[in-house]
Amino acid sequence: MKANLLLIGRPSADGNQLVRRTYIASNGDKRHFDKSVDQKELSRLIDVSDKVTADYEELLK
Amino acid sequence: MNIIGIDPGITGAISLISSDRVAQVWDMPTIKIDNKLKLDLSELNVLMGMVFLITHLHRKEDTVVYIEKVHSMPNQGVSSTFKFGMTYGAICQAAIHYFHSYVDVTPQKWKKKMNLLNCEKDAARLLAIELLPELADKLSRKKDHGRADALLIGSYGLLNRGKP
Repeated sequence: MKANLLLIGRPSADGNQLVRRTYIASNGDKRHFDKSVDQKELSRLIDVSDKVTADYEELLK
Repeated sequence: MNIIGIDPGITGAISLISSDRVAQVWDMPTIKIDNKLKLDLSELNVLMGMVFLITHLHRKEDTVVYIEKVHSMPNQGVSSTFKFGMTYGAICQAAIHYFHSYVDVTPQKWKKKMNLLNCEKDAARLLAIELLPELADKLSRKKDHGRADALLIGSYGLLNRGKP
């Protein structure tokens, strides 16, 4: 089952950004991953979220 | 890409998810005239101008505006339907003025994507808190459903990569 990635975050005091990655599977299931990232990692994650869908079963492992 | 989500109407809201993925939400500006709540057209233009300026800081990025598509309801009164249509038209005009275009999205379409079809009204607010925990304090009351809808319309736009 494929899952879309929704990536939304907020700036943190240390200059990083706290992001919540939410994978929404085609059946509506959701799985969240929270992470503090720097600008470089944030850019990479935004690129990833714009281009790929994930395999939901793999995420659950 | 910057995404703006708008839940039109007096109790609606405007959300912005900027290209660095920071989400913000503002209530639809209103004014009381003759003890009746109306859309504050002047403040709406100020708010949209401010949102435009924020998106302009990310000028390399496109901005896509999503507005929930609304229509008259069979059992609605003529007067309230006219008032709602005026509000909707003003919001669409403000979006066109600052961003040149907008995308109509039906409630069924964005709610299906967010798995909210046939759910009770408060489910959208709870989902918005789940997706955007940093905005939980702005979504804590049941009457914050307009803010939640605007944020979820924006999230729908983000998932759709700015496409209809």
